[in-house]
Amino acid sequence: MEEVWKDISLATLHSERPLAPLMETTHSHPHHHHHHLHLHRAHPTASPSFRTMILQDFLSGPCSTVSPAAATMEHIPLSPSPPPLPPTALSLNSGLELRCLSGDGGAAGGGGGGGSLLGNARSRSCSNSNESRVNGQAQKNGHGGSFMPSYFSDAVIGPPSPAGFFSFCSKKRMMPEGPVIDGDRRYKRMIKNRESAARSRARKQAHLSILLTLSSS
Amino acid sequence: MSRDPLVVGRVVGDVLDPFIRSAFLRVIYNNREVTNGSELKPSAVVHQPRVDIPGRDMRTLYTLVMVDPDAPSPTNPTKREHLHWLVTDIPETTNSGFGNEIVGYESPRPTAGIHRFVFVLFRQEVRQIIDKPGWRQNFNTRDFAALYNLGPPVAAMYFNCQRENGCGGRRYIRLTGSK
Repeated sequence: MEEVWKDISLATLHSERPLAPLMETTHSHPHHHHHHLHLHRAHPTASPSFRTMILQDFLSGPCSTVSPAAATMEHIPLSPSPPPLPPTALSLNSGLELRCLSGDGGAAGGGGGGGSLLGNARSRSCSNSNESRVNGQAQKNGHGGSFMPSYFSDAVIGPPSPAGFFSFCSKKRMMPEGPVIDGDRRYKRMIKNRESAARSRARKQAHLSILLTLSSS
Repeated sequence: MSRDPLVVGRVVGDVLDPFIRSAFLRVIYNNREVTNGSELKPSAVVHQPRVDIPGRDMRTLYTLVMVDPDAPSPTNPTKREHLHWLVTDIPETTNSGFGNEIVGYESPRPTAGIHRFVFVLFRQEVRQIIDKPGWRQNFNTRDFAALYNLGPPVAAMYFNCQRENGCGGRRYIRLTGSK
């Protein structure tokens, strides 16, 4: 356990993107309890307390470690704790997408990108319990990781900094729900917009083919 | 490169399976033949069209189905497909007026988005009794054809329609017989 903390601390110090070392550690120590912790914290619902909890866990971890490790722990609060993600996910957005797929019960790998997702987006009753999502994420990591990035990589700029994300969500927090619902709505809206654009392109192409047929006959 | 508007417009896929055209179908509203894939206003399609089925053999009978796969809106087609018209026993060389109207023509009245209105023609093997569906919405052309052993469609065409004052979609060059 001590070497895990050393990995995290040294890696966060050295790397620019705090996301990467976390992914490495969780990947190399899949059974570490903090991996599960991150899965349980998969949703920044209670946002400020979530961050402090993670920090407390970090800080409580190296109590038994050597002092250099403890000293380096203090740097961790400075680096923004990355959004808790399954190791294969890219960002918060795709994390939500994984969750959406989880509601469909295993159709993550199947179907084309747009069509099946449309069906999922419409039919799923997006359950708001963290546990179901956690299970979905835990199960779908393998599928989601390989499936999502190619489809959503263009939409995902990069992992938003948690501070920025939380403030963004607090602006939108007119509703009593939280950033989870907003992200879901944005995702649905994005999908619907894409389909609308695809239909518009199809109409245009159909029209062009009619014109070509008329002009050639 | 031109492709069939039925495929490009995703009628094949949403409503029909790929099929080989083996019959002819002409839809005529107000003495104007509708071009496949064109756009019409609701005011132009208020009354039922005359659907001509050219051919040679009057003994061949056809079933005509008209559905809206984009009900109530293309983004949320929960009532796909909405049945607008169902006519059976149409003899070849004649038109829809000579058939058996099982479900009367309902004027297209799209409220949201640009809907496709699809005409599908099936060739009947025999003169058959087709039961009137209990309701128009959530009709399924594929299931209907399977239920009555109509086989694959022999012809189909569609037009786009949005609400009368709608301004959606691109501004195209006008085609004859549309808008």
